[in-house]
Amino acid sequence: MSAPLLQVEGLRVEFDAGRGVGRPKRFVAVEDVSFDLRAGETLGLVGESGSGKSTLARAILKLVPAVRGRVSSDGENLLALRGAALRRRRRDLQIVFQDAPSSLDPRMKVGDTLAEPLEIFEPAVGARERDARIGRMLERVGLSPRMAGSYPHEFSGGQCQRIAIARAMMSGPKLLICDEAVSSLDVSIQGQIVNLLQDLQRETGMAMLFISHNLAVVRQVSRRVLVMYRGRLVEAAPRDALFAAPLHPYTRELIAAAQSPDEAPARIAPGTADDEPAPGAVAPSGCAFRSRCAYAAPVCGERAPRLAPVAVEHLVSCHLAAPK
Amino acid sequence: MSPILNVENLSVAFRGGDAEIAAVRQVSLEVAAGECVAVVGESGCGKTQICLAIMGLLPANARVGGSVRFDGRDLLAAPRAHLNAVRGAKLAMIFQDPQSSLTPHLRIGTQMAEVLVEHRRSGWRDAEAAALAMLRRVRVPDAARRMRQYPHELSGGMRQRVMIGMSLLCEPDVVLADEPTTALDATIQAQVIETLREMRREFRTSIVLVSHDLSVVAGLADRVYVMYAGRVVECASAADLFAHPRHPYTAALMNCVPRISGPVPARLETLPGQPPNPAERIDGCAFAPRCAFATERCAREAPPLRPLEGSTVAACHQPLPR
Repeated sequence: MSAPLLQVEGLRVEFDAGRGVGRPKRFVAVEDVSFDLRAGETLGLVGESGSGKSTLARAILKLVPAVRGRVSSDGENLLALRGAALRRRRRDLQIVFQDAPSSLDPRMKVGDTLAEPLEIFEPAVGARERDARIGRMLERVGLSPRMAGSYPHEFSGGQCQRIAIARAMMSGPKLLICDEAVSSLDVSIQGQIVNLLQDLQRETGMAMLFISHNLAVVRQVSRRVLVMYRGRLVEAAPRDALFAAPLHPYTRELIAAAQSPDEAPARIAPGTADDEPAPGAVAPSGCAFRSRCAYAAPVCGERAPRLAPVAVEHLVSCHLAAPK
Repeated sequence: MSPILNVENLSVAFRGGDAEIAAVRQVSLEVAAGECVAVVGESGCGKTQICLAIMGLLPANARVGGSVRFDGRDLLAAPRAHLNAVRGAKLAMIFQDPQSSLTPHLRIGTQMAEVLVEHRRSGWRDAEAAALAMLRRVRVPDAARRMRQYPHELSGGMRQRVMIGMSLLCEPDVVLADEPTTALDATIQAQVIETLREMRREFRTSIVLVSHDLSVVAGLADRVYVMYAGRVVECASAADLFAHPRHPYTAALMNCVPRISGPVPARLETLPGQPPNPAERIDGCAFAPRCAFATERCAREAPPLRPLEGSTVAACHQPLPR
């Protein structure tokens, strides 16, 4: 098996949650997250809004500071890099955001947006070759090279996402992070973009970290899947193992809730306490999921479970699912 | 049975610069008492504009045609005083984003009770007692404490339950729910759908459910209207629609949804192209440029809605075989 492209170890991200009495309150968005990402693989990352998925992605790219942990690639800690060295590294690590229209500069022509990565990463490239590469990339993502002269507002949401993908691909990244990249698109367009990402991956051999709350889309693209709940990883498994035999009660709940239209609608017990965390709620001691877990035992309140292997590549953070 | 809400030939258009943008084109739909009718389609198909037209909430630059008959009167022609008496009481709406449709500076109890004080002339004390009872019925945990809280102190799912409860306070005949679960996480979404299902059983309220999400619709609706580019392209019972989609757009929409089980395909099914620009004049079938079965006739001649087998009505020259 190939060496990991990216190793994330013990990552912790905190935000200032306003000032309480005495000292500033801290909100822990990502806590003790560790995983490997291999070259060329697609790793799915699922969880509810507020579970820390996007923060984790941003921390990997050093777009938000991590207070603890390491993100290493080729033995180098990316979180320790600054300035020119960091910029060089970002050539390999690109991201596509959910809201493509607002992630593009409205005052820049599409061609200029795509030229920017070349100017930064390959300043030696001349104007003629630059334009040729921009044209080829636009064509590759399903747009016309003529569109280089247009502004983002002339495009639909799906087309803007194609432009954002083209911009990310210009530097030839080894890892593309897709942060809810298809979530705001209509289903008919969503499939087009997912297929485009998978085609690009097959052609370039890049790895993807595919973040989505949509389990069916994650199942389509991922080799392995990570499940996040309130800042922590609760389960990590190969795709088929996760969907066929989810071990963490939260993963089970997520999969049960993701019904397909022609399948019997999932009947969720109406008496289920709506126990999603209210904004800014303080994480309880022990397992963070225990307040909504149907299987919670006394041990779950006493100490937090740790992510532990139960099978090949299958890890779960649950006192009851993992061997003692 | 005569419908409780009857929308006929509704058109909504906006003036945008020198062009006129047609958002809704001659849409007719009816809702029977106690029925849940879904309106599905992708963004820009006009589904939300229909809700806003029914509620009289369209902006001033909208041009509206047709009629919306509710409780024996055409709401489009009714004076504001009549609308104000009907809205929130007999005809209620649940919006997609409960965060921005609740008043941020009023306690939950106050804004719920206000509905009854305004429409039923209840006293505040009675109204608050009724609001508390309603919160319990829509399964808001710890309801007494929630009454004293502000919207920002509640989670998204809880806020949407409050919205549902608020919409039901005056026991409306019809609730319009515009993407009621779209802003919620999957597990919470399933719970809110279950709450809507219960409310329907308990209050016999008709629901107009507007959604882009076929799985939400499948779990709740009796009948479904599928919209494309401002028009209804297919209407059928939910059972017929999901078992035998007849319009190629309906079928494509279902095929595009990735599955949570079964074999994983190498590629997702897609629908090529994108919806037409609403400012452009459409002569033939609006879906023809994206349709795998389109013929020359489809580009020239707009297909009318016509009845097919079972409960299905579809606007297609060559409907798919059943």
